[in-house]
Amino acid sequence: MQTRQGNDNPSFDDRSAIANAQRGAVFITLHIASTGLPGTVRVYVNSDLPPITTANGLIPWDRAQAPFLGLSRKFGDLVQGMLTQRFKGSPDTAQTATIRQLRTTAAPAIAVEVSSVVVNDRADLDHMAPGVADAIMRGAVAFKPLYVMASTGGALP
Amino acid sequence: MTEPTKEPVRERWKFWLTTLLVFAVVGAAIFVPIFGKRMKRAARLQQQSEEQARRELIQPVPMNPSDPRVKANLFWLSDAENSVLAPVVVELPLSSDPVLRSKQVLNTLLAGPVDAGLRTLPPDAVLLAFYILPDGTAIADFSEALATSIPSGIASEQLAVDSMARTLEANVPQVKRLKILIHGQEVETLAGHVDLTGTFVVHADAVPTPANAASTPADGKTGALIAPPSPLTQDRRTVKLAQR
Repeated sequence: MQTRQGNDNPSFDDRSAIANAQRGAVFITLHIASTGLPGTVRVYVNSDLPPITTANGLIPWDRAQAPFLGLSRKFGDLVQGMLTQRFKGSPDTAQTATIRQLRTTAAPAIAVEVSSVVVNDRADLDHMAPGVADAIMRGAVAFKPLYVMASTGGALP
Repeated sequence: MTEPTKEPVRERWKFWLTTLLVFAVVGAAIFVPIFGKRMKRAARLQQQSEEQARRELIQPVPMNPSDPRVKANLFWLSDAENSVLAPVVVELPLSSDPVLRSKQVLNTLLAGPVDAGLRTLPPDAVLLAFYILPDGTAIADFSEALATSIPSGIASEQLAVDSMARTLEANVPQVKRLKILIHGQEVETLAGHVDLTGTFVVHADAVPTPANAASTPADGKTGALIAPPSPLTQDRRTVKLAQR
């Protein structure tokens, strides 16, 4: 499911609302950087968030990602590994960043950023698209058993 | 009778013209790229000096020459393509007052390194105000250019925040956390990606405040967001230690 078609609205919260309404979903946000080594791809997961301490068991909206950070890291590392096999020079593991869109997402969530728009030919970026899509798909397939195991245990890592 | 003498003359002219043309082409092939590079370098230097002049007009760096000169560590990019920060030692007359000292190092960070390609913050961004709350939370208020002129992307926005956090960590031990405002306002993101609604860890050993108890990140990295959205209250603003 796509949460938006362009670079404008819906808002971060609206996009998170769409994602959070799904069951057993993973969230992937795609970006193209203005910087970085052209031809490489980086995966980000959200930086650590304060743990949730509410007694009612509800997940606070503004820290919805907190209980999923462990799963997000596993998912991010798997996708990054697949991307690095295809795009040499990319990092070996997922990086952390304080990404607004990920913070309110109650699912394993990653951001994928392609470097960079500073290329001589737009076609260079277009040629990367199938490889990026394939690596994300392979990462999601590799992650699926981990996601199920964590969920059936009744507690999230 | 004149034809036989004219032919060798024409041939000689042709030879010299051809030779001249060959020299001209070879010379152009050698010197045009060199000239182009020099022009680019001159333009970049001119741009840097214009940026410097504008900065001096807008926001004079409050340096006091009588302050002791210390070796400050400023974090810029180590390499334009690898997105890694590295400390650069710069000898500066730094104040012992933490607010002034923070302004001095942040303004130097904004001024950028010698190689403009290694800067982490946009050249036209200005530090408008800086406070430190009693709990060690620093509030840095920047002009809109910080958000509008920064190269878009997660990596560049995170590097901008990290360069500020790590520079403060290295030079101002009193600053424990960093809150970034744009033109006096709390904004959702820096330029569409990095979350500015909370505060960023500056010192990994920061004592958590009641609002974000037990929130120090496990990895102890500076630049990590540690606080949930907590808008500044009027009360908090009144306890600022100093204003520029």
